[in-house]
Amino acid sequence: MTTRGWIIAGVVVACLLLVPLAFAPVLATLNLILMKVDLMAFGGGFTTIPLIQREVVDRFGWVTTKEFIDGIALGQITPGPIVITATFVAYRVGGLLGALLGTIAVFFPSFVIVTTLAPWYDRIKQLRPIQAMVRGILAAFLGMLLLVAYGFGQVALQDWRTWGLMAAAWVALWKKVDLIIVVGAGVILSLVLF
Amino acid sequence: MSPISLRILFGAFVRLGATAFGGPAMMAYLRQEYVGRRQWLTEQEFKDGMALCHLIPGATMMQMSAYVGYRLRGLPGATVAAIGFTVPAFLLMSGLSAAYFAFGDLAPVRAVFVGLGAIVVAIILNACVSLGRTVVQGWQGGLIAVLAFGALSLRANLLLVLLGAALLALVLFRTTASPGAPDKGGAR
Repeated sequence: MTTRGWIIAGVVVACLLLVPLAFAPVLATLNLILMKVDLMAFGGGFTTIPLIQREVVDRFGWVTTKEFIDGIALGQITPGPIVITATFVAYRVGGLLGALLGTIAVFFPSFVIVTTLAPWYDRIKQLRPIQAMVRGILAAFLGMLLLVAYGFGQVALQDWRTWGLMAAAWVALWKKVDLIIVVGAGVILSLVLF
Repeated sequence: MSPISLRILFGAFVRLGATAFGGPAMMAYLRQEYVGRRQWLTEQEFKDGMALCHLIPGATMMQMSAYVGYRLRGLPGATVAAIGFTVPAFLLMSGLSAAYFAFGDLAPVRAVFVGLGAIVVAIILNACVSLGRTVVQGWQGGLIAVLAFGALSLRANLLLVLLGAALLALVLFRTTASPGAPDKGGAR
């Protein structure tokens, strides 16, 4: 990235953190957390779920586990990255403006990284130790994701109907049935079952 | 080839962002669209970009969009592509969030989310399986995953766990790493 690019990046970060300070300091905290989550989200996608859960549910209690699970469900209905679940949390904390700032915050650091490294990638890919370390971090995320699955299960799986639906959905996903079909069928089944 | 206008770039990525469902499938679509049909990138450029985006933290597809934009039009192109890709999901999610927090208490809505909650558990478990396929190719990855699970359930500091995992991997994978490893397949 060019010098001008870095200046623009600095201004964006300053706006994300300073603008909310004027009227809703909690948004500045949220934006900082979402940027941190983005910087740790090796492997992309699902690894952000435990990272967000840890901060916004366990630590700050901005959303309940149930609400967070529902937010992930909405993230599955919408196209695009699963990271968009952050927008749901940010909306809960700060309404539409919060959602806008939060969305920028959760994408911005990795955007800076990719545009910075794109010209230099040929050299970086020679560094085997980095690949080993990323693999180790991904392994740790696997443990973390299992822990999240356990926590979600305690909230979402209450009786034989929810257990049955979960098992059926898992088998369907295993058999590579399209996610949208699984979710659509789940919505219809839920209206009948619950 | 004349440079692709930012407006065309934006439109292409809005369309991608509005139709992109389900991680790895999106990547195949992206390749087909931009390497195959439009010929904006060469096969090698695309592969390099994919490897880079899998290596660094962050949402992979957004970064891949930024990468394609960057290759075509530098930083302005990257910005336009990343925003274009994210905008449809952002608008939809904001609308759905507003509706959820306004009407979430209605009985039929509650019923739907009871079922969706169960499906989310299945989705997460499925993600564990596909992440596991990438990570656990020998005992080393499995060991790190188990250690991390144990440490985090005892409320250990996350950054220390990730740092420990990275350092452990440096030691464990050094002896076994074959040329070309690791596999960049499964994880989204």
